[in-house]
Amino acid sequence: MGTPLEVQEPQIDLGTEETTDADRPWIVLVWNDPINLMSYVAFVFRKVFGFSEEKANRLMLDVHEKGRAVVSNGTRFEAERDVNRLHSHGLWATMEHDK
Amino acid sequence: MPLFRRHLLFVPLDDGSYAVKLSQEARHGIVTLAQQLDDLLDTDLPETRRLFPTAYPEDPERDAGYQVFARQQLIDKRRDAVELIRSTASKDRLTEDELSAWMGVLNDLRLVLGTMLDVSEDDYDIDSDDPNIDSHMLYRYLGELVHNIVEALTTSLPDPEDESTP
Repeated sequence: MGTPLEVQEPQIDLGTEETTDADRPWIVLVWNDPINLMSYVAFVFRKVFGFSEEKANRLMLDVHEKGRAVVSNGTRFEAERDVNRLHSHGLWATMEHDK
Repeated sequence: MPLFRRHLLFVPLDDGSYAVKLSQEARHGIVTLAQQLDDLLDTDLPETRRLFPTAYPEDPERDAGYQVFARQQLIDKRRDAVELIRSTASKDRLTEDELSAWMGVLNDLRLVLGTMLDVSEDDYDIDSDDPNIDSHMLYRYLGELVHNIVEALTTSLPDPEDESTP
């Protein structure tokens, strides 16, 4: 490893970290679907990731309007864990290598 | 603030529990539906597709690896929630965990029913001649229940970034 990068720590850390360095190349996507309620999706984002109401609603609207949103990123292990938590709440989540 | 009328079927109480304002008939219906969900979990019927999503859509091999542990785990989790609904169906007060289990099962039922009905729009008008009108009405009712539970459980979430919260 070289010189540590100066990264800004997120204000809230309830198990997820928002870093995007090369060691953490997986992203977790949530896709729009016509079944899950918008209020439910935003609630799940808050419950699973500890997001603020504002952030959860913004991501939910991204999913709704753009068809998908990146909700977390990390190692493959971390991404799979997040995907699994979203699946257990019935959300349509997938993971892929960050491009 | 929501402008629509709130039914307040699930009311957060000061002690952290939730009052359930549902008729016996509604409770009975929920238990019956939960049992039907339970019966579907071990099947490979197409309407259960949304209960077991793909993690790696572009990598079938990795997805198979994910499904090996995820499928059974998702089944077990849902069975536990169904069992919790059975044992708490007649209670007038639910804990946060119990109400979360109710929400999960009711949302799973929407996923199954919505898949069966091939729902493709967020909001749609129900045609009174539709042979599936009962299922459409049930789907809508389940949505109302889930939305009500979400509103009730939202009171339990911390919101550290929202300064307007007292």
